[in-house]
Amino acid sequence: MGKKTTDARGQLCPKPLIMTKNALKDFEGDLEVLIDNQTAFENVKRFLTDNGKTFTTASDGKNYTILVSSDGTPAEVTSAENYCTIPSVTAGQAKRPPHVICFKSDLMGEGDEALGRILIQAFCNTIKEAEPLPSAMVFYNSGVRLTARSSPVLPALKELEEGGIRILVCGTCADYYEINDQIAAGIISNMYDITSCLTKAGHIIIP
Amino acid sequence: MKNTFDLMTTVEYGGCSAKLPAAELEKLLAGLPVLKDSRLIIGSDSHDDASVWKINEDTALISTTDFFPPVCSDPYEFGQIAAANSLSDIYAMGGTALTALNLVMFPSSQIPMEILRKILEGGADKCIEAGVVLTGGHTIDDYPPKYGLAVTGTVHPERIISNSAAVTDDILILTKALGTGVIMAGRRIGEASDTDYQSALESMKQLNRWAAEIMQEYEISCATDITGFSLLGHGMQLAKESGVCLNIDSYALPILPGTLELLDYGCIPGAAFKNLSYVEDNVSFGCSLDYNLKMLAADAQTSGGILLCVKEKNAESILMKLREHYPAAIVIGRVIPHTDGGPYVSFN
Repeated sequence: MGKKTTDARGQLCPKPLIMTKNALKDFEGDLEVLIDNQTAFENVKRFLTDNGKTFTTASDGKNYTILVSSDGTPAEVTSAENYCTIPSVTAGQAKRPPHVICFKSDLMGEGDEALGRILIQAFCNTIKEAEPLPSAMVFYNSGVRLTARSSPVLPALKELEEGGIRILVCGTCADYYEINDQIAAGIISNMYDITSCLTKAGHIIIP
Repeated sequence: MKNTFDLMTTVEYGGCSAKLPAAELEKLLAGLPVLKDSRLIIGSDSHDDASVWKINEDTALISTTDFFPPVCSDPYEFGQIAAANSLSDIYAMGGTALTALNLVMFPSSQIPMEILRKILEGGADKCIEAGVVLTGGHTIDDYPPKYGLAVTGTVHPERIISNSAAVTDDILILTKALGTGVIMAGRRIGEASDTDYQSALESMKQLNRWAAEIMQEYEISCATDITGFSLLGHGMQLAKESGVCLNIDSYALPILPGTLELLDYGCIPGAAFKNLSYVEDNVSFGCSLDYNLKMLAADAQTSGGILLCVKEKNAESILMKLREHYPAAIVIGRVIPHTDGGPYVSFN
């Protein structure tokens, strides 16, 4: 696996971003980006995060290094001697297939309720193991209960959310069940967003 | 006399990109002492485009000001754009602009004074086009140069167009194409073509006066102009003030030629990131939203168009009228109810 360096020092916004984007094009290895301007540094980081890249950063207060890793695992920042390394947690998969998981109830499948509860927990805890990950998860009707503070699957959902997966929680449903103030994962959403999310999904998984 | 001075060389960030970050500004202004007066109809607390002061039952006074460093190379064109941009706030409120004062900062020892003359000519010509009387101004020796106007206008107190009157099911119309910030950034690094640059300049020079007249004709009550805080920022402010949510279709956005290519190339101005940080807690972005369109919606506009909230039954005829002056005018979405804790802009 190759490694290359893009030296964007002395370049003003948006040049460092252009250089980074250009260097990432058709490149599979690790990419090191050198920047000497804080605004450009912040903007490039933001761009990488938005585009699901994994990276680490280092800075000596004047110069900034961003190491973009090729395979999702943060790469080691080389020449660490003079740098204070700040591992930056970012998220997501670069080439995420656009499927969406749709939680229409707080149970999995139809039948015995207690069984449904056990199954949905196991399902939520297993999502992260199954590649590829979804681009989004949508919760409506009693499904919204899964995102509440008291939900047993909350940690699993939060972990997925921190990994860059969008979680949409039906606002009308949260209102209806009077748990609006207890929603602890995802963002409260409306039917336009939910419909658009489902319409644009590659395929939809309903547990 | 041919001038060869390139105003773009004086600034790193021009136009409305030079604004202070909105989020910090909000914090900074909070709690400043304000003299209360019942004649003040619209003040600084509603993120409105200008202040409105009721003189009597028939007349309210609108005041606004705006100035910025160069956004383009040619001083005459810079003058035109800065003036059109300053006047825009009056038009966004549905008002008639009457008089204006020049606000000038210019480094007399570093740039030939005839360049300032050209800037002022551009501003003066734009005021004539707007039917506005320039009555004076104020100059300061300063680098880099900055120019704009303080404008006074009037509006009937019952016919003020605010940013807080949008209601569910209103149709959203945007009058000008987006992308001036991107094109100007592209120009600065030599990546925007001459024709794309020129169409951006033409768009920025265009007065929002005709939009104001059409809005009054149709008794529209809610609109805002799209400037430095971008479509998302100004849209979010309007939705918050109105207590609604704007559902905007990314594929409907009018775009200046060359903008998408520049965004795809990575030419994203820093102001777009600032705007994104400002809005992201209140905006929901669609699951498969195109990244370039997202950044386009966050792009700081200089002398941008007007975002109108219109009744569905009038939308088509308003659009046709607008297109006589603003060929890029288009429906970009619709007003939907705001859910408690939910987004103020749904950008899909």
